[in-house]
Amino acid sequence: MTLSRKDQDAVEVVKTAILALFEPKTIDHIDVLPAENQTGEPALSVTVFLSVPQERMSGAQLLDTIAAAATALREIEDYRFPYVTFLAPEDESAEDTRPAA
Amino acid sequence: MWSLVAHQLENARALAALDKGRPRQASLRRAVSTAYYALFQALCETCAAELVGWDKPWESFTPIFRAVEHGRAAQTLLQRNLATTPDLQRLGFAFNELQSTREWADYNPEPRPKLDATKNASPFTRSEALTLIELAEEAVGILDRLENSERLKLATRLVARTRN
Repeated sequence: MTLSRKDQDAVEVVKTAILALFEPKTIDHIDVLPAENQTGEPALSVTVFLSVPQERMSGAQLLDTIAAAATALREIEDYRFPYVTFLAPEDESAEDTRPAA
Repeated sequence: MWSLVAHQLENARALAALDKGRPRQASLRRAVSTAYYALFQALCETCAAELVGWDKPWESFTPIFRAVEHGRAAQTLLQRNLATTPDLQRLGFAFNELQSTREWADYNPEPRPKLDATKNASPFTRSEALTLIELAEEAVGILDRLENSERLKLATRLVARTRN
């Protein structure tokens, strides 16, 4: 997918803002993608992939991360909301509820 | 903290920890949704307590409690003329994040796209549900720490309509 200039700038500032919050070894990589929220408003989907298996971020760390990303976006006059998810290797995912074929 | 809110957060934690081994989607979905509703009802209580008061009759208290709308609250909490302090900004950020995840938890049967990319068929992981519950606790804590003038301003803005 080719990103617009605006999206490229958003990706860069969000990644920079989040990386500044954590030790370098904490984060494996970060995905930032243009998205829409539940009301159809333009938003950003930010997924932070952690390095350590089953490491869990606290609610305060999640809030710090959203705040850092949102503040960085506002500084470039991008008012999309960054919805942030942390994922770690071997996280306990829920059962798959799709019926068997 | 209003006891109803505290108990909802406790229920959310219990749901998130309920299943040994691989958690049930139903448990994690209800945990995330309950965490959001704890924060939403904390906002509703702030509005009714500030603008009416617990000592007033239900016929005055309840309509203000129920006047807060989900979507409008999310937008209002991010407005720069309301979110004038770091705490108020963080309250808005937490509310928006939780509202989005609650929407998925309650209405969407699919894995979230960003999770699907990791071959994870789950809408939520247990870790994520626990983190979101703590996020709701953080936000309720912010609400509880607001000064009286900030609580009154917040309540007024969440309930009152602005003429366009």
